[in-house]
Amino acid sequence: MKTYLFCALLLLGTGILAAINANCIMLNLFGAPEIVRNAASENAQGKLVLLYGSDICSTCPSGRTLHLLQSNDMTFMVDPEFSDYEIQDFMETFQLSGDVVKADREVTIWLKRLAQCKQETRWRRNLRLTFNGGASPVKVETF
Amino acid sequence: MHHACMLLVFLCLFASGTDNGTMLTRNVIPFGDDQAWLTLSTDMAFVGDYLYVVENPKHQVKKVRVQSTVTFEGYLAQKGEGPGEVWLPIELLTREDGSIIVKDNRGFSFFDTKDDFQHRFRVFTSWISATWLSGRIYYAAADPGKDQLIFPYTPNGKKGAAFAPKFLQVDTARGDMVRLAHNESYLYEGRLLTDGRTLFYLNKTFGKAWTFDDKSKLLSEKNLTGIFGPHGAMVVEKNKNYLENPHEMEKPEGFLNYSLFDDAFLLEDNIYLLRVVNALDGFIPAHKDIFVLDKKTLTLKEVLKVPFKPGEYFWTFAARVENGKHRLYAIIDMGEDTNLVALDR
Repeated sequence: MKTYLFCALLLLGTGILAAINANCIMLNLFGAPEIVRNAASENAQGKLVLLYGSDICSTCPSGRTLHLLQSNDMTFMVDPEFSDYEIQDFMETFQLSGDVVKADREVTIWLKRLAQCKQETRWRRNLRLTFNGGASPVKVETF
Repeated sequence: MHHACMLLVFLCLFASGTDNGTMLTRNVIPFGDDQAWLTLSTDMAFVGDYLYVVENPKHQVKKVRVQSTVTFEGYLAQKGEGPGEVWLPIELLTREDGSIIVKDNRGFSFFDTKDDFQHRFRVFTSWISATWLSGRIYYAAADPGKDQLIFPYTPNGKKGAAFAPKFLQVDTARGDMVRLAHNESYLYEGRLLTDGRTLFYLNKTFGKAWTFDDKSKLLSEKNLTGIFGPHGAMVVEKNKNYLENPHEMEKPEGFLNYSLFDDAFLLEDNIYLLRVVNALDGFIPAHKDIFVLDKKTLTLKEVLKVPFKPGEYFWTFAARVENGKHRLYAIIDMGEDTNLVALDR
């Protein structure tokens, strides 16, 4: 309970309304970084994949998820230090066709807080955000 | 990562019936200080007196100096996700000037001759082996979406045209790309080696050997299975069975790896193959073989036998020239201790 309270306070502190169930965090986009809001508004039913984790390879656990994310309405947000060559290699390896954007510092801070809320010891986990339309709740899953 | 799983399911297979060969003696090089202690390694590389050792489970690359004792020189890279840090390092690439590139779970990290981090780039396909030749990384990887096995990369991560056509009929209709990548990473498992002019790909599961020049042009092709005698043929039979029944490789509890050799090392005119030893057919041999091949003809020149006791493990080795002769070293897990051992005639 203390953890939930801590997380709620943490997210409220950043302007994000949060509720937590056993498997994921549900949150509203109010207060999320603009880049995330934009990605959501462009694809009201879309998905946003934030790739920060070190385990991004075709036989890593994350590979299974990535291989399934081939739709055009997907936006992949990557660490700003990804080079254009790396982005090209990434899209080619997983045969992806969505958009790729580089994240910024604000998103990084937001990701760290999400990771803390999910009690992740490694905040650089990959995240998949599923938007249910507009500014309604977002389902956050780590992979 | 799957490489760790491979180690878990790893079983040593198939000692040769070869009785002829030169028995080597083992000489433990004592550790000169506590920090020099080494753990079982997945790869090691000499640069002069210095030995770089990949301690994969500890997520670090250690540097020691090997003379009459082993002394700790520092870490090339330690666990982490920042610049110059590594996560599950697996292989070392040595450049012409003696600087090191580390392949880890994310990609390739470049270090200079003073061991300072330079830069890195990511790769996402599943690792088989990599080496450095003529200003490029040559990376053998399992990528089910491609018809080739080897990908050249410039130091800044630009991928060139892939080459080395896949030589096995892997069932690609099974749909699950991760499963396909996993199966390919096993079936095409091998080592890339170079002598600075020629690129060698030596396959562990079917014995295919290729040589290419530094423009990716095929120079020669050979099958090495015959070198390994009847047990080599058995290894290939087992792997053909996997190829025809890929579900055998997809059991959640893992599957048995059948390899012709554990590791390969090229020094001057010799290619050394650390041959896999049998632990399945009811006996543990008293030695582990190292086959010495002529790099030009890929024919067997000599068999070296490393005394080997039950319960001991080593999967990788390295060699350097000392007093005009090749001296081989291995990090052997002897149960209570892990030691750096020189293998002498």
